[in-house]
Amino acid sequence: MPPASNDALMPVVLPTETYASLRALARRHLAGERGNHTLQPTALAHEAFLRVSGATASKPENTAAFLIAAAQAMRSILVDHARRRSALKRGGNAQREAVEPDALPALEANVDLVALDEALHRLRELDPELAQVVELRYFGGLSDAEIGAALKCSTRSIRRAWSVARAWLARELER
Amino acid sequence: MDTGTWKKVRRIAEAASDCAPQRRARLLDRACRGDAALRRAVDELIGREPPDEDWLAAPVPGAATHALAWSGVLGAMTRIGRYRIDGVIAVGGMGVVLKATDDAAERPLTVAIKLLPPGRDSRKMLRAFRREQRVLDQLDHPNIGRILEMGTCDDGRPYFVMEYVDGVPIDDYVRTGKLPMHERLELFRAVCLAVHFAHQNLIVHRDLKPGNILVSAGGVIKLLDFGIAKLLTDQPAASATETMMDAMTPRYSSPEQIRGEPISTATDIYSLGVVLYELIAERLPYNLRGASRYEAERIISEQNPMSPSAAYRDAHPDERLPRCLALDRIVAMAMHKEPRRRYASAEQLAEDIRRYLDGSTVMAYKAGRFERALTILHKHRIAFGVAAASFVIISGLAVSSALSARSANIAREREARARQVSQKINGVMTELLALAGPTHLGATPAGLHVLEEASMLTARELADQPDVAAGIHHQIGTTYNSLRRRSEAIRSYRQAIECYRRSEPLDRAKLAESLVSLGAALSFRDDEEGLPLQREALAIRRELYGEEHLLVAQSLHALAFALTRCSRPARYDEAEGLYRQALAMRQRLGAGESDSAAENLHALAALLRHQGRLEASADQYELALALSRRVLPPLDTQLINCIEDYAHCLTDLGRLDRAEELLRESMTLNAQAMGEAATVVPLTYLVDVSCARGDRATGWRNLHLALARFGRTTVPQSSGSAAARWRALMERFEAQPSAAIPEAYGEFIALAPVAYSPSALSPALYASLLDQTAEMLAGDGHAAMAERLSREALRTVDAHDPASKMTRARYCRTLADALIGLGRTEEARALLVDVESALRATRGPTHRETQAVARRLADLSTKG
Repeated sequence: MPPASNDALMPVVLPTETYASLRALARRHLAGERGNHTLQPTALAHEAFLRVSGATASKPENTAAFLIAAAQAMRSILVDHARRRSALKRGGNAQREAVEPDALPALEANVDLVALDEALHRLRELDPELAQVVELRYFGGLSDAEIGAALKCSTRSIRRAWSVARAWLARELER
Repeated sequence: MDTGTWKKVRRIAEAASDCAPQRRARLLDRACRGDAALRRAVDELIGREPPDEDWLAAPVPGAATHALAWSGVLGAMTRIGRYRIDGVIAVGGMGVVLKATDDAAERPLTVAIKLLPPGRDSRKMLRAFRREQRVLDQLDHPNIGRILEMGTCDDGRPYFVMEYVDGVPIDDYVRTGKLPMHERLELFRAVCLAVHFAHQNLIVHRDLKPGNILVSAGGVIKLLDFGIAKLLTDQPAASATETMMDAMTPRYSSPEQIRGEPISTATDIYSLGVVLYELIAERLPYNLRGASRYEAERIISEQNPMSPSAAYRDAHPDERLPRCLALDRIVAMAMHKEPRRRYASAEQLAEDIRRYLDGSTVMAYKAGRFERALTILHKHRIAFGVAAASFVIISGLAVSSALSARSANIAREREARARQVSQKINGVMTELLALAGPTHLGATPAGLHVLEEASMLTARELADQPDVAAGIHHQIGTTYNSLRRRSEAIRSYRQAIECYRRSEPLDRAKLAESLVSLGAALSFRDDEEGLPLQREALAIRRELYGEEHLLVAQSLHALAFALTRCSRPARYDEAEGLYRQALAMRQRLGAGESDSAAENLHALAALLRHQGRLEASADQYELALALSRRVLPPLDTQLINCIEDYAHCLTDLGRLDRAEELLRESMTLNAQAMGEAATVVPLTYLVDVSCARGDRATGWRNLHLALARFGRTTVPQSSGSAAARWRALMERFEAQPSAAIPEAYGEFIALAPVAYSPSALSPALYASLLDQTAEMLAGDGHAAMAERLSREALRTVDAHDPASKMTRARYCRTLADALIGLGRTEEARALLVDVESALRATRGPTHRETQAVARRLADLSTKG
């Protein structure tokens, strides 16, 4: 699998106001589509991003870089969120400013995200490509074909990588 | 599980996932080939009950809600360290840039935080950052955004805190503002000057692009991310999918950068060239859209872009850009494929823009003269290294000397023969070029081998055409000479002279030329034979050209040099007279503004310095330097040498600030011309300056820096344990800024011969570093280690350059100091007596080295 091309995303300067309107836009989008499991968070974010940043179209390599970065951010948000919630459940320490800007709904994951995140860290040590595929698929919500396009390899090899990664994670989480 | 095994396991598991369940067992048997451990590992992974079909199949439920675009980072993180996050400024391949506030500061301070993706060794990076911090702290410039600190988040992601800059990228700024060309160029000049400032502090940006060059609403430039790219490239990413080069945009990368070759200030000059191109043309020089890394590398290394003015015309068909050719030349010079052919500094680039704006002739025109020759070399794909370049000349020479034969018939015959030979030479060379790779071929073993081969070939194949052979031998000698391979140069010149003497008719002009070259090479080795050769050459030239001729002036100059080196003892008064005579003649003949006149002045200044006439010497150096700056190309070795020698002289005079200023300039130029390795010499001179100031701490720091740079640049990337220890040692030198670490120097000399490949290491430089270290150690009372290093320095110089009397004398002085420190006074005295009598015989009693040794002896007697 060739290395992901992360280079092409031109840094776009987003003033804070733009940023706020970006979130508003995303919220509107979501209002009509709640519960739709096929909704792709990263794709949505990307579309929104493009609209607010004023760009009319994006080069394919820019899109790939964005999706990779977005999936990474998404994972960090979600895992952090899960970690915070479990800390709260344990009556845990509220020292950390638990600011939840948009009153995030509860996650209905059938997976322990914190444990998964830790397992992914280990997988990354062993095989960074597999970890990236999982990140893009599970946290970024991308299809195999989209992942293939982003990482410049065939859909088939992504499917194979995914099945091995899943097996590895399943074993790791069972322990 | 190690990576190798895991790769096998993964491959087999992937294959199994594709195959029908009933065929799986057979596939596994075949794939594991009886390797029980491998089979167990595969079974462990996929042999059990497969996870539920749905498990992890759909993206995290509810993730979309959380997407809320990039509230992401906000939602998850409200603080980093003591900073409160206010929003997202930018998202890029290298992570996100956040806007944040430092509440802890007296007044709330807005900062920008660059948050990197996880996966790097952040502890190592932090250490590297601490090392760099001192340098970065010096980057106090109104047009450079400051890096305030570096830290790591709870999850280990490293971040940089930077001055917050409210601005837009320069390309957007000029485009949306529809800025007229002269305003664009003025902005760009400010960028160049800021980059130059950083270069003077030895910081190369490595990632200059419009996104890092912001313009505030008031039109003020700010450069961002100085010092960051280096930290990132020096710290390999955890995975291959995230190397720095992948993260960096290739659009502004220079050919050497994209090929992964050493980076210097010239790399930034190239990126500046691309930015300038974009500011003029409003488009990028190369279309890299959709290009793979490999394709991008090929395009950047091989193609020439459309000239920016033509691109501008394309976009603005009814506008005219004034003096567009000059502007094209400037961009072309900044973006030259060959780093050494670019502007020597960002300041020069700024200067040339100013000339353009003023309407005066731009420097890039002058440089254009080299261009033609270079294009030819490029076509032959051998633009690398002195040796390779000289072959084009040699091959041409063989043919052209053949053509000069009188009879047409003979000429044709000889031409055919000469062509054959030059083809053979070219064949040998091309083959070896492929082996050596396109680096500085001349200095590599393969490069030397090429020369050796060519030398033999010439002697064998052209035995019956001594005049043709002589020319080639002479050229080979010159190539060796420029590589400082004096013995080989001397041998080749001798062959040339021998061939000329056999030629019929005798070409006396050429003979004289070879005599002068041989005489000079012998003079460098203090060989007495040099003197009669120069006398013979001078006589021939006077006969051929009369008293007043540039070649006669050259011979006078060469004879003067021989008098200081080959005569026993040296005859400085006579030499000084000849130098002055040669200089006056050059001036009378209209060559007062030439590189040879500059060399002449430099030689005179050096002579005066050696005679201890420092004030007079400084005056001559000042003249020599001014002239060199006027007539020599910006990166010429002669110019750099002049700067360093002058700095030496000023150090002796106690004008330390000026000396340091010159040495810093020489570091910039050296880095630009030959990479970081070449900054070692001026760094060691800086040690002397610091010690003369009484600031030994800074002296030690510079010395350690010199050792570390030397170690990094001379050791090949070998994987042996010696090489690893060597690298660790270099890190130690770099990290230990101010105190002597005696045991480390012992390790240094123990490892050096093992860790480096001898051909890559410059023995002279190695020895001088040892001597410098020994001198510092002796001064700090570490006499035993000083003795060890000193002896190693002497051993090295004896093995590689036995004729270098001055160097030997200097090293012996250091050794004597060490011995005195150890209480072995008699031994020291005996050593110094030997050295002094040798110096007296060769350099004479008035030479400052002789006097220095004599002084040391006198000190010893009064103490004893």
